[in-house]
Amino acid sequence: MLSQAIKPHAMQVKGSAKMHRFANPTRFLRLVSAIKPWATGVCLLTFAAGLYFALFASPPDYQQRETVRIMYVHVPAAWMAMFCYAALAAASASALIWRHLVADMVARATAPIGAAFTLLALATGSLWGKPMWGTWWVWDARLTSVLILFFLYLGYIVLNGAFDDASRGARAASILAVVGAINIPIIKFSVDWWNTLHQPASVVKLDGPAIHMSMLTPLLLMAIAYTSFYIWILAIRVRAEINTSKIRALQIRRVTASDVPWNDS
Amino acid sequence: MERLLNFLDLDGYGQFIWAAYGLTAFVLIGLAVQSLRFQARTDAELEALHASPETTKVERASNEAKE
Amino acid sequence: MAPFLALLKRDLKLAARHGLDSFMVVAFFVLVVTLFPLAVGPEQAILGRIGSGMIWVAALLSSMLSMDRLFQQDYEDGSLDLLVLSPMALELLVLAKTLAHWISTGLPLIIASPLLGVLMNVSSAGYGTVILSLALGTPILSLVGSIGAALSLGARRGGVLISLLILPLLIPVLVFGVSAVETGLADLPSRSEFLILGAMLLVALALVPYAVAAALRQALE
Repeated sequence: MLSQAIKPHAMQVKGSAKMHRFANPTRFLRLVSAIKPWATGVCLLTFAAGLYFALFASPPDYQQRETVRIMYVHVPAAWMAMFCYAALAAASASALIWRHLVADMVARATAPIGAAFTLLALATGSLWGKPMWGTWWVWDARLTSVLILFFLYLGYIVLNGAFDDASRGARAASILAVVGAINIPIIKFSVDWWNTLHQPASVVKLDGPAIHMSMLTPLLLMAIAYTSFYIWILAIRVRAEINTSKIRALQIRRVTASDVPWNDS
Repeated sequence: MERLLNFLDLDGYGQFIWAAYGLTAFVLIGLAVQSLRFQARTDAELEALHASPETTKVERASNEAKE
Repeated sequence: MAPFLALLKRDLKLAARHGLDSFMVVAFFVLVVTLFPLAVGPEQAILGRIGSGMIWVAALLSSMLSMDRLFQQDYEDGSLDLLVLSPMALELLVLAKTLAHWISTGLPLIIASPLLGVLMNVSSAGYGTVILSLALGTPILSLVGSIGAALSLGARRGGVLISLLILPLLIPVLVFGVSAVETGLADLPSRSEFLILGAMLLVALALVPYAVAAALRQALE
């Protein structure tokens, strides 16, 4: 969300004043702290309403019965897993193209959130699969793709932290995120192909007929809750990332000031 | 009481459903707590750096100008 | 083209001088495949069924094994700086290095693969498709692997890191490589699998050098 908020401005290469508006960490921080209370409020409200509808005010499915309630935490997590990777790739691309410090920080702050959502999608999917399919895990196309997505997140996070110089890690990881984003359609295609070759028998398709309104309400509420949760956590983490880089800059300045005797400051 | 137990049981699927919701709560709250502590730690560190006497006037002025 | 060929020749000469490295990759390839009968049991039918997949997985792992030395030495002794500064497009130089890497590690794997086919009881009709699928697939492994090698230059943990970054990206190659062999073995037309493998090779040839060049430039900044 936030990375999208920067992008339209970053797109206007001609209006360079606008382009650099949010590239300035301090100005970006001000924007972030303006958005944060709203995101927090929306997150808490929709979570409360969503949970109420998901657990009390929605009927059991006639086929999956009560287990359909897992859908309300599972499907939004899967959506967010993909949305976060899109945000990660978009922020990484703008970090590479325009060298925006802030884009780097948005990408770095997004990665753990996306990884957490991916992990949740996998785990809750597994908990849904056990009563529905009779097994914790099937090598079905969607599960396999999400598992691979999780590995892509892990690669990004590990590469980001693998260098002594944090800015090098950020740049290397940005390239990886963009390469991964180009590769994702190919992975999806190959996993679908592989799955039609080795179709596991007796899998109940989870996407049945069109969803009834009584189930759509909790689903959408939870989707809004997850999205605003992402924005809230992103605001916190981006601020922490900006702090970290400020601390590093201050420490470097201090070391250079104290080590050089003729630098009289 | 019986109604409560009935509700918790959820037609026999209670363990899976509550595990899914519990796990979601655990991971999301854990992420939020970790993020808040990350922010609090860096906030405090930055504050300490700004306040320490070693920070020169020039530095402080330039940092304030930035903010 | 002269710098391209010169770099190719230099890298091949270096690889030949350390002939042990190529040998090590092949030995690892054979060793990994040897582990499978020991793990799942020596039944010929099972081995024949999973053989082509095992050969592909082993090829994937052993090409990752040699990946970390693609740019490492040049990075350490400074010749990478010279390559980046040279008037020749860095993308082409990257291609030359990757080609040399493929000739010194990918090609030996392809040559060794029929032997493994014999060990794994893959029916002899499949040797041709195994070789062809590896011939199309291993260059992609070298190309995509070179992205990982360039990205992890100077990182604190080299070797395992490359595998973690690159193996997920190589899943499409594995899927189509194995299904090309398997459809061939089942006497079905495997033309489309080979065409897709070929398409992936062409796309990788066109795009990967840019990613690697970008990664190398940022590593040397």
